[in-house]
Amino acid sequence: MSTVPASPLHRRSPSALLLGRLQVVLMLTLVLLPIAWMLLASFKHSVDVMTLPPRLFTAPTLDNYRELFVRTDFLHNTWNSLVVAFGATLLGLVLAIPAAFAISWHRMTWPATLTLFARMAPGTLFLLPWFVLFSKLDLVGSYTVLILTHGAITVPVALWTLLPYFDGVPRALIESGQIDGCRPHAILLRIVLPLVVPGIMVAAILCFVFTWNYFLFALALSGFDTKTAIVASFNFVGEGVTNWGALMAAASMIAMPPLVLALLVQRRLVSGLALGAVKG
Amino acid sequence: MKSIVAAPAAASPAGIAQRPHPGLGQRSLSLAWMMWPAVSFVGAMIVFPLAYAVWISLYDASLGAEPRFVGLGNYLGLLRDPEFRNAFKVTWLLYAAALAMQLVLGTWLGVVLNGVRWARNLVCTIAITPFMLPPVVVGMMAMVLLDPSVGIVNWLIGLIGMPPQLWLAHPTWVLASVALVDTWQWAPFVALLVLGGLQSLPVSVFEAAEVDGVIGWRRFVFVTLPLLGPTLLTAAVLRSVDLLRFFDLVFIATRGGPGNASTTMNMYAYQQGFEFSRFGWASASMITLSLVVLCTVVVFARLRRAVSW
Amino acid sequence: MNPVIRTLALACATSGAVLLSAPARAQSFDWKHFDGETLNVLLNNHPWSNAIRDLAPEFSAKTGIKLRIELLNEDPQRARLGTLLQAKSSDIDVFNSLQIREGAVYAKAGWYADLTPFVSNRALTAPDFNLEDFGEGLRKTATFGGKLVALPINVEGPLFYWRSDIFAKCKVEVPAFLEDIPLAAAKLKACDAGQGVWASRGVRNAIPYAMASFVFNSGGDFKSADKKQPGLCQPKTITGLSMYADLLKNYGPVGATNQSFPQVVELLGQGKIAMTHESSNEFSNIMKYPGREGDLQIKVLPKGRDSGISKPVAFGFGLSISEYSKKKEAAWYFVQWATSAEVETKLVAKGVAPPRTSVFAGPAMKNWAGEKPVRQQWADALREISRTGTGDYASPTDRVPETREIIGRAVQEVVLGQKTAKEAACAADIDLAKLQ
Repeated sequence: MSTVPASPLHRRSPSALLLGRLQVVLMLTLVLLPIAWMLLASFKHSVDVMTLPPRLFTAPTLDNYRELFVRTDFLHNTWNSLVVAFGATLLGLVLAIPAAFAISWHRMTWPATLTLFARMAPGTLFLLPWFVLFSKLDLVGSYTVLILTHGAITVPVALWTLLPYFDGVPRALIESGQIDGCRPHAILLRIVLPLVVPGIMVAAILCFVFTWNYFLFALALSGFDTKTAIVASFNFVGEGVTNWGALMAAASMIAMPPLVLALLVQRRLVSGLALGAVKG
Repeated sequence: MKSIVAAPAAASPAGIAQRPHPGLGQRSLSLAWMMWPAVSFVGAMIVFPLAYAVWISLYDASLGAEPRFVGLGNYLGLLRDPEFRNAFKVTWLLYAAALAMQLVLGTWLGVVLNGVRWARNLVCTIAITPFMLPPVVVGMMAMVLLDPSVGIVNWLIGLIGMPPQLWLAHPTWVLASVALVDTWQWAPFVALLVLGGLQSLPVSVFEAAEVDGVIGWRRFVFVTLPLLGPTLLTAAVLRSVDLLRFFDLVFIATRGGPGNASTTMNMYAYQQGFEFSRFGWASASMITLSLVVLCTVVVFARLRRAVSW
Repeated sequence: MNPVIRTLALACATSGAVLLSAPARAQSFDWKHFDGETLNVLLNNHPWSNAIRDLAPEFSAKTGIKLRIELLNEDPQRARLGTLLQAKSSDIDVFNSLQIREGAVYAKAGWYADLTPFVSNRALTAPDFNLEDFGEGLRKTATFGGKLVALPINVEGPLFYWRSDIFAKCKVEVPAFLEDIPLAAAKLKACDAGQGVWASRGVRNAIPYAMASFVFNSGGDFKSADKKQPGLCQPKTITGLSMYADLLKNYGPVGATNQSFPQVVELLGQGKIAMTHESSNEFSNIMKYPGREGDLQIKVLPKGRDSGISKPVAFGFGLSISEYSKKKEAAWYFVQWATSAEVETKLVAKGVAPPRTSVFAGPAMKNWAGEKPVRQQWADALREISRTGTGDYASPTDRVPETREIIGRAVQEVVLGQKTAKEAACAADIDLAKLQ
């Protein structure tokens, strides 16, 4: 894969190299400092979390994590989150892949803009009407309703992420497939899909992360047994119960699955975003 | 300069999309039906809530009171309400500041990541961590870390002799601080888009530029940046939809304050609906906000057409 | 069979049947009456809620009713509650809410089930329940339009916390009157420039809670003299308001307008301030910081010297049954258990002040409070505010949350130096009047 060379015909001067390295270190530090603080805080007692001067290495305690697993039904909630996030991601991809293909081929814009409608209104607009509608359908508290509602987020995100990739597939390839007599869905599956796999990886990650971290729909529509982690877990700061340690433990645990997923596909992610973005 | 930029369009068929030419394949291949599942699904999900919201916004409806039809009364009232106008202003200021910061810093970050030779995969993974965190967490951390009295950031800058800053408590510059925190979270997202864009630009363009004597900063501005246009536009659209509906950070970290200096339209609507139980008014605010976002997206969509095709 | 015997047998059978099918009135109260039911409870994050969740297994063992308790932070709880009750959903059976803030509106919307018939129903209420055990003020706050909409679950209010060691070191007398507080602040600051003096709530909607008593003790009110108009623009109200704002402005920490109880507790706990006016709920949190149990003292906010008034803020959350619940009677079992003397006694040790006078005066409270002097002070202060306190610190309107925003903003404007106290207060009155 081609890369923009820093300077192909000129050697990079030592000072430029150093500047480059410094920038990387600076960037990594800025990114990591708050996250490191969060992780460290999760192993401290609440009263030690914000003491100044900060005591970086107090004797670590597992009390916060213990409280998280005992006080909340954390594992069960995480499982629910996983079901909903994977379900919504799957739904998003299944609907968005053919749509991106069609929209890209026909050079349309209105369908893409229309699917984005769901991301234009504030989430709170949907709460009451959806609750009324889905309780009439007796779906409130089910995985189905959670997957469907989060699908309204994943479909536009997946679609817009995939569009540049489909735009980058040579039209000649598709035409030759048609001349060969392939039906449209075969063209999609056999010819085009292998070329856009990186884009699918990207879209999958984004759909997963956006659903995993989304709070509002599950707040109203999840039942006792289907409560997602993000709704159940951030209840450690309130009047009379300010528990920073437990909050940071919850935050650390909630951040794990998306990070693990990202790590697993990050190779494809980087190259994936690469291929797609420039064409868009 | 123009010739260099135009060259890739012809030179890399596998890259930038080409003009359609009439031919047997193009004419008879109709794929429009493939998009209907996605469009119908989204349409079906949102039609009832949108219709409901519009309908309620035509009433003076509050909790415990009889709803009264007022037509466009709520909308006209919003236009006159100084709180809403303030929220409108706050939203746009925050949007402009945050988008600019995220695009600029994200591009810088992407360029830096592109130059990394050692452990690129690891570095890139670390770089995307911020936007994997839930917004609620980032809000709480911002509130705690940036607190002017008990926050660690002021303590750190005190070590190097700087006076404590108000950050999120500053009546005038609170939006800058909010934009800064949001940039911490989302510039990495832009950076990765940019990184990807950089990685698939053809080398030939840059060799041609070298030959023409265009190197370094000038090369970046006149060659790289234009080629990154589509990438940055995609990033801008995706961030715009979320930035205009800014909520979590201002709700948790500043509660819309000091005063109402950081109350965005989305937070205004939330307060009206969920704290004051003024449903008709809140719906009108939400519909107005949706229209604002729609207009912005349409503008970007037009821009995209111009830049890409 | 002999016709007489047949008649007698028939008579016996009939009367037996009549006796067996006698109405519930004649049966005694049975905790296990709803064995096997499941209840959905939606609570907000509060020491009481956390403690009740821990005690829930006891309830289930006693009654056989399964509890599904959802605990959410205040804002998400209100959002979920609002969404579900607006949709008239039966998914919630019991919830807690703050009568002084949303009680009027929720009652008008018909969300609360009337508890009066339950209380008076002997078959459904434990014989030792005793409604009069709850303070009269608390009961009145929970009554709307003649309906008892909630049972109080706690008593809370802001108290004056101060560091006796800092005061002693600087040889400053502990404020005996309201007006002494700014004077003491000045002396403390002069004595030790490095020691923070004061902190209190500065976030817009949190300010009224901490400020109200400053207004009341100065002789002011949030209502006009005839109780029909907003009263911020009155001279004595302005005095109280400006005293609170000036304390924050002159002696408060940097960035005070963004601070609420988490930051105030942190500052007090770490020893970075000398005094504050903060919630009684925070007592157990503050005591967790090393040293505070020994050097902190607590009392009710001192009364005004000129006015002679001591009118603290005191209120309690209330536990209610949803009007749309399909299991109201089983829900009533939970509500009366959670507010029973027995349970409240257990909650004392967790820092929850009981609304029942009997528990407050009872041995459990005495034992717990007797263990440390500061606990006794806390208990005494709470007993006083239960008696003399009020939960009403808004202008005359049902739209209470909005009054909090408007009043809080006026104070913020003074703290930030954007307006004088008089300008801010009188401008706020105009906005408050629009709510009526």
